[in-house]
Amino acid sequence: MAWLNRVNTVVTKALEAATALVFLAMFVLVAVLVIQRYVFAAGLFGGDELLEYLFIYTSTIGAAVVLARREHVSIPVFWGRMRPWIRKAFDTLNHLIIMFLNAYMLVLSHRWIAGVGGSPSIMLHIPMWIVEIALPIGCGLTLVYGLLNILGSSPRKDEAQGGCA
Amino acid sequence: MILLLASLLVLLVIGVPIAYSLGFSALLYFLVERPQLLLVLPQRVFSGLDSYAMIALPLFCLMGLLMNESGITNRLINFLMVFVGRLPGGLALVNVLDSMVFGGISGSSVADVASLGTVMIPAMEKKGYPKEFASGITVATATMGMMIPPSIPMVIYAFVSQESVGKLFLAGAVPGVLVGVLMFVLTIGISARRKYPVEAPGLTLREASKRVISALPAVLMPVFVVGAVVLGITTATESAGVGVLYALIVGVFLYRGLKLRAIPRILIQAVRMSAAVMVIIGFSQLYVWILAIEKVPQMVTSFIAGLDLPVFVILLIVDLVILAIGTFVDVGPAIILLCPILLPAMKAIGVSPIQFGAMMISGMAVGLVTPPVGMCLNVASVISGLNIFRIFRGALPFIIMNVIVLIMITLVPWFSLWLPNLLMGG
Repeated sequence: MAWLNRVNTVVTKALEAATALVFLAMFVLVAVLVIQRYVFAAGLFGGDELLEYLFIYTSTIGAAVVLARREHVSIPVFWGRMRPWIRKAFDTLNHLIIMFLNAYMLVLSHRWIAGVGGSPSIMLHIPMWIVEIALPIGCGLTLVYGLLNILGSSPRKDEAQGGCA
Repeated sequence: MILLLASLLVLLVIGVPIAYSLGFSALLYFLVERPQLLLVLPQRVFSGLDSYAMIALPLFCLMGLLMNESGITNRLINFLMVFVGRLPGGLALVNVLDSMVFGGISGSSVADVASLGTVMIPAMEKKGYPKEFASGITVATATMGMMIPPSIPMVIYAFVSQESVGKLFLAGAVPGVLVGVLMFVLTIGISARRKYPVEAPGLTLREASKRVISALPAVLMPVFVVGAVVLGITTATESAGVGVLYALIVGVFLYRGLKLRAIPRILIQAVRMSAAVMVIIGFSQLYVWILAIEKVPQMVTSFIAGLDLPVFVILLIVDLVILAIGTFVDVGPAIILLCPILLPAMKAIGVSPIQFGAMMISGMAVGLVTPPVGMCLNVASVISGLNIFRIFRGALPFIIMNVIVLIMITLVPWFSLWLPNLLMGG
């Protein structure tokens, strides 16, 4: 299990680094857009559209990482009152449900992208599959992390904690 | 439809994350009721994620995290001590005002408790305040973070309701300040009765000015960020981006508390916070679509309109629903789940969506400090070592102030609509 944990940690950290870089690019793009718009009274062609697409990637891959860190929002009302073995059984069941949903979404996304992915985006004219593929990528990663969580593997804890309310 | 709601309820109860509960129950619905429309699933989830307006969410999270890391907590405490340190219970009053100011900077109640709680709870305990009171006042006052702009839950509500973020920011301002004022007065009363200590800092004018100037860049940040949106200068996303830039400059160059090596960790934290909400928004689009296809909002609207009750009674019942849901469900998901069902009914009985937003956020704020799922209580419990029920007991007198303000904004639309109408028109 130690090797699995190590792989899990390396992959999760790589994904976190990738999403953080994309997010940094988003911030730089917002800053450039603001400067262009309010200082030079000019727009940046396709800037807003690119921003949306980068955001989709951070959200889908970020969601998989959130599962790896077990930080998804749930309603733990009865969770704390369960006996450890019941909790463990429900935890496995919950991950199977998550995996089933994401596997189904993966298949459906493939069919959906095959149907509409060829159409170009409005401003940048890039084929939409380049953006839409973020969804099956996120589902695939979530599927893997669901399995890893069931196997009891978890990435090394870090200081970053969720919570947005 | 019954299959959707029953499966959603079961999944939530057994602890499946809210996003996947929504997704799985929707998948069941499609498989059983409308298998020919299964391709709607990826299309709707994708459209939920494809939103320019929601880009403000990670940026506001990042802005709050950067300011928090800059070490503003102590500066704010020193700053507020200048004004209220000589009153009985000075430190408790600083706690109230600090939450008011900090809420404007972080936009998050949980961040408020985590940041202020680690400093204020031990400091108050050291000065002889009971731990229960110190923890209780810290969590209860943190609820203002959700109402005082810029507020992250308001950004989520604006997306779900398709209303102006600027108007919603302003709609939360008066109720937020009102909660602060009521809590301030209550703290003075409790402190005088229990003879809590006066801090008597005995500051010279020079020292006082130094503290004020030192805190000014942090205190002014929400004014710039919200002002730019309200005055129509920038969109919420652009304003959040400018806020991040401002927080970086203040944190790195002015306060020097923000180390460059901490930035990657903060970026990751902001991405995870945002992704946890976005995945719920994505899957909630399926739920919204099914509700629309099954005409649920229309059914709820005609049921409420047919109740033959005065509007204020209906609104008070809605308040109870919000409080009840808020007790069990976290703020963002609760907004995403309730809004599509209740908002059309509210509009039908003549309630402004802006007022309803203020009601919803104020009501949900109470849920953050009520067991069993009060996020703020859990954070304070980790800091203070008290169990959440004891902290709740300490917070209860202050929570009553929240409920009073909720009733006020429910019964008198002016409290939430005056400022948006004044500054942004009707």
